[in-house]
Amino acid sequence: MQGLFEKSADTVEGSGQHDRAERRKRPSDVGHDVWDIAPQSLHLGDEDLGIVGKLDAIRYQDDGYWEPVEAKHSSAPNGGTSFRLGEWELDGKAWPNDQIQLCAQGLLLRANGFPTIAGKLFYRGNRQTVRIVFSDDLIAATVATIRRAHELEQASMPSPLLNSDKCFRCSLNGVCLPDETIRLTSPDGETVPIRDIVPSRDDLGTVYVSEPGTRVGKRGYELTITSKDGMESTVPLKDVRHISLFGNVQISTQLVHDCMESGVTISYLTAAGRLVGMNHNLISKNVLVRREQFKRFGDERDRLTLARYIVRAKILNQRTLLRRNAHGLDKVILKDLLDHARRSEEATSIDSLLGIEGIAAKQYMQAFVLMLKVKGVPAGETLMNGRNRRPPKDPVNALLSLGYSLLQRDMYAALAAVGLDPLMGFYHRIETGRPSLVLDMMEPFRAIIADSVVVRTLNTGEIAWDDFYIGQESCSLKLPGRKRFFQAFERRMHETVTHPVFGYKLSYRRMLELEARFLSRYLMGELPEYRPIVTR
Amino acid sequence: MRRYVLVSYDISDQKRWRRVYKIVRGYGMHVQYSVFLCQLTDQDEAELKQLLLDVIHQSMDQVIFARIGTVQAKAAERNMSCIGRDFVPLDLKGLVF
Ligand code: SF4
Repeated sequence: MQGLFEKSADTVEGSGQHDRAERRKRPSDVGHDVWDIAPQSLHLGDEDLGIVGKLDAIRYQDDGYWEPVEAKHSSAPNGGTSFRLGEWELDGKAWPNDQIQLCAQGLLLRANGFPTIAGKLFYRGNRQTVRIVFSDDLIAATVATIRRAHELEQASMPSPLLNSDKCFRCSLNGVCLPDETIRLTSPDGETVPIRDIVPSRDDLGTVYVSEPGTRVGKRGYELTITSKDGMESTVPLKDVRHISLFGNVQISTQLVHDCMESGVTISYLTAAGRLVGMNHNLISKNVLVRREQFKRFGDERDRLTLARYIVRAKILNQRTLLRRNAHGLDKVILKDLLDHARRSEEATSIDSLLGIEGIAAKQYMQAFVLMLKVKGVPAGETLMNGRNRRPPKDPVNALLSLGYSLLQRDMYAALAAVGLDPLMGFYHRIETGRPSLVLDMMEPFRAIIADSVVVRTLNTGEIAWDDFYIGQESCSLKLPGRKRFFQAFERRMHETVTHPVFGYKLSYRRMLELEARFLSRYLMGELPEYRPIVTR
Repeated sequence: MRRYVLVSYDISDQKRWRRVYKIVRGYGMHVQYSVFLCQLTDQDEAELKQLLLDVIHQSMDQVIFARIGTVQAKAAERNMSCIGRDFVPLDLKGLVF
């Protein structure tokens, strides 16, 4: 599917068998007086055919021909009758797709100057070796298959299967989201059951490194974190999904390479927590998503539709947080916020949306202190005075700014992972250096993720008044407090909620990823609309 | 679903022992000599077994995988007890340095 490939226990076992076959093969079979030392395996490509391939084993026959050999997990068919594939007739002794794969290898060999007329398939299932001659029909079928594959690569993503049992074992289901898509596209969506197949994917760890002078590297399959005084901690690399580096810490190039290869993103933030940059690998295949994004965001109507849903969701989620946590809240505020949310659905321009959002935000921020029960605030000091930033002037604003930075980082990673351009947004104005799509998409989550962490850390006393440097014009968090805040943020991200539409439990971080996928599906025309999540 | 798996091995050759040690380290926490507590998904477990299969001697070495229960259910804390030195399983929510 568009070059997407997700590993699963099954695919790992498959490729493990491949690797071992490769290493155990007798070198003499491969390098017959062409190479001094036999290559581990042969990597061939051909421009005309438009394919590249890895040949596990090649045998040199005495008659001067080469034969590719391919091992299969399954059993060979009984070989009685031949297979018909469209207009072509294929040998009955091996499965058609195996023959085609073998023949593609044969064509690659030919194109690279190795004469070949046949190849062998070894079926592990019933321990049978089948020799397949590259007949005219087989060659024609193979060329047609290669052409078809090229077409598919350019085409849009195929729709998921309806209720197929295959989805349970499929390594792509976290990307393909079969049941979710069906629910979102069918008119009587509510009645389609969602099977519990998504949460099989686990949420991995995010590593925060903020102690100045720390070095991050790798050894074997481990991530190593070495502090300035030589103390070392390690984390299994397989458990890491993201690395965040704050201020003056070093990372080894070797680790960066490894991360890029395995899809781990790296973010760079200033010591105070402002997001400076991100590393992620090349996501070339999904350039198609990007093309649609640029097209659709050029359309005034599409942009407005998306922006309305975003602002609506943001206001409703702010309202929910207040409703749940504020003490002595004037009920009028909840009613006002509901009104603002309704009006945002009918807004006729981005400018009027900005106005509505601004009024709602002001009311929400004024009521924000009602959610806080902080002890130990010295007389004459302010805990919070509305929303202020750059630099934040009070403890609450310092925490909010830090929380938004972390959320921005996570939203950025989720959007980049599905191939969207984080800088090209639909609601926030496009400006150099401003990840406007990230800002757009994180709006609904500010309250339910970042604000909620701020309220919690302050109310539980996890972060207290003396964790802050209070300056004349700014306020910031000291390092130990910052670490505790990171931990609290991670706890929130790993917390699970019931998805209001799909009904299953998922973590907040996975929720961000789902949102990014749904937006890209919408932009690709596979979903009729995109509406961000509204919690209850 | 991520589970706790206690991985312990008995390897008869020093060189192979070191290679096994290095591999398993990347998959979990070293708790004792030749004993690791790993948090593995089905996929991780398959991967680890593949890596080890390439290194160990089929008839002379042995690696045992004991599944203890899921990480979400805090199975290690419930199903394992220890006396003497304490051990704390790795918490993926707290990788803050
Ligand atoms: S999850 Fe289901 S529909 Fe999607 S690719 Fe896998 S088998 Fe096909």
